[in-house]
Amino acid sequence: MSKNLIYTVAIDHPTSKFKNSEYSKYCILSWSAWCKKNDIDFLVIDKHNDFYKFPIWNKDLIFDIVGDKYDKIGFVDSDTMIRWDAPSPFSLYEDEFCGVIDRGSLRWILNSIEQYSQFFNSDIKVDLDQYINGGVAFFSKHHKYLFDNFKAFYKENSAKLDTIKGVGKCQTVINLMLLQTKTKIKLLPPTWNLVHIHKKKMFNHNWQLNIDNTPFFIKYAYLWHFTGFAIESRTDVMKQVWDNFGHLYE
Amino acid sequence: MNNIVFIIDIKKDGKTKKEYQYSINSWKYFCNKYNHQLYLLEEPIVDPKTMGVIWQRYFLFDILDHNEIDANQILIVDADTIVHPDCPDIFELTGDKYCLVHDDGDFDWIIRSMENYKHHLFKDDPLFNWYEYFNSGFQIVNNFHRPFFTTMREFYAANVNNILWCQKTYGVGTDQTPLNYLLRREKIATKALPYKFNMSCLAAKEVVNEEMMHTKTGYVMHFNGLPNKDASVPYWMEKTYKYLYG
Repeated sequence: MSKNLIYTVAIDHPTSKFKNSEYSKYCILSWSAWCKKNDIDFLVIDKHNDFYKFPIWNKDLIFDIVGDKYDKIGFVDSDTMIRWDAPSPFSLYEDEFCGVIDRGSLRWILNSIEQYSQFFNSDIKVDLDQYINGGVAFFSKHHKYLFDNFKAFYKENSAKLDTIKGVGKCQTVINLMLLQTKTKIKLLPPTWNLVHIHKKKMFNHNWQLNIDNTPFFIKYAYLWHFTGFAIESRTDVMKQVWDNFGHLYE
Repeated sequence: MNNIVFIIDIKKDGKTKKEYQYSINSWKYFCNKYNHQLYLLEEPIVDPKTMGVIWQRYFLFDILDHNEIDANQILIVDADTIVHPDCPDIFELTGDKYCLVHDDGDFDWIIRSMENYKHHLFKDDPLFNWYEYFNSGFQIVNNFHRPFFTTMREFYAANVNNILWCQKTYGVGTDQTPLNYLLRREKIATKALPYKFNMSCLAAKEVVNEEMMHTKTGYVMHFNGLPNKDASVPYWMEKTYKYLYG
């Protein structure tokens, strides 16, 4: 057994408009191959716990599932893929909670903060330059308290939380909870959670020099997060990536 | 010694852009609030046909010397920015380092610029991280950086034809990418200030809207990267200034 774990939540659920398994299969293919190569355990949470209305919250149950078996743990959304030759993110931190800044849509983020702040003390203020994306996080077994807090928070507020629409589910809660618990945060570079690839225009390649046709996101990032664009395109994009580069994971 | 906010506001065809006045007025407020001095460069130092006005900011120390201005720190800021009235005193954040802000916008443009300039002008310099690419529209320097400004100008003089060819052929910027390479080549100690101090490409962040959300995201709004810029930049700068300053 490895000392480190990567896990994802991949559940087909009636509350989701699109079938998760259609795109998460590419996530699982890339992560399972990469984890095997790097001697890291990989876990897919594929059963929904009815404690929650929406499947994404199942990620908060990780310590119920694995206990304190792992020193370091990484959560990755099921719309992510890892580059075949990415180094291990577990060597990038010690005891911090790690994430990547998200400012893909500051409008969405401001609205989300406004919605979710009602559940927290008014003196907790989010600094947009410290606001992280909730879809990829690396932490350690010492962060169990945080996940206990998430569960308690959901239990206490689920009736209201489950009615909030259009401003995400866990992401802003994670940010606010990190502040409330005064958890030490380490910001990783965007190569470790490349969100809003289309807005960054990193699906492009350097068409001017015409020396290398590799898209920028492949060339310059380790962990691709296929979010922020129409969900209808997600499966196609992830499939294309796997079809073009899948052989490199062998 | 004073701290200086330095803005290029050079007339083209006998007039400056009207919207630049909003930028200048906002920085005037900032300077008054913290007892700093505003300096406007209104005439080019050399013929802009010989050297584009953007490159002329690297005459900064010569300009200050010529005008007998003894400056402590200098913020060189683009005239398409508006500073928020609540902005803290930026000069207190520098630790006397060369301060800039990482660009966060069109990384297709940024990476092409990095790769193209490397290919033609910086062959022996290592490619640096794309997410550590500085925007040149906001730079804080001090006297220690005089030699580096000379380096920038000497680099321009030695490579002017190649630089102009790159600018024209690829359209991936003027001084900004050479600045990034040369800061690293010369091992200048830099400090990256948070995005809130030079918020580039705000339109892509979906906050430039009638709710004026861009005024709630940070301190220095940089109105670059807006679609239909000839109409949108004047519109948003005027609206933003009036919203913040009345």
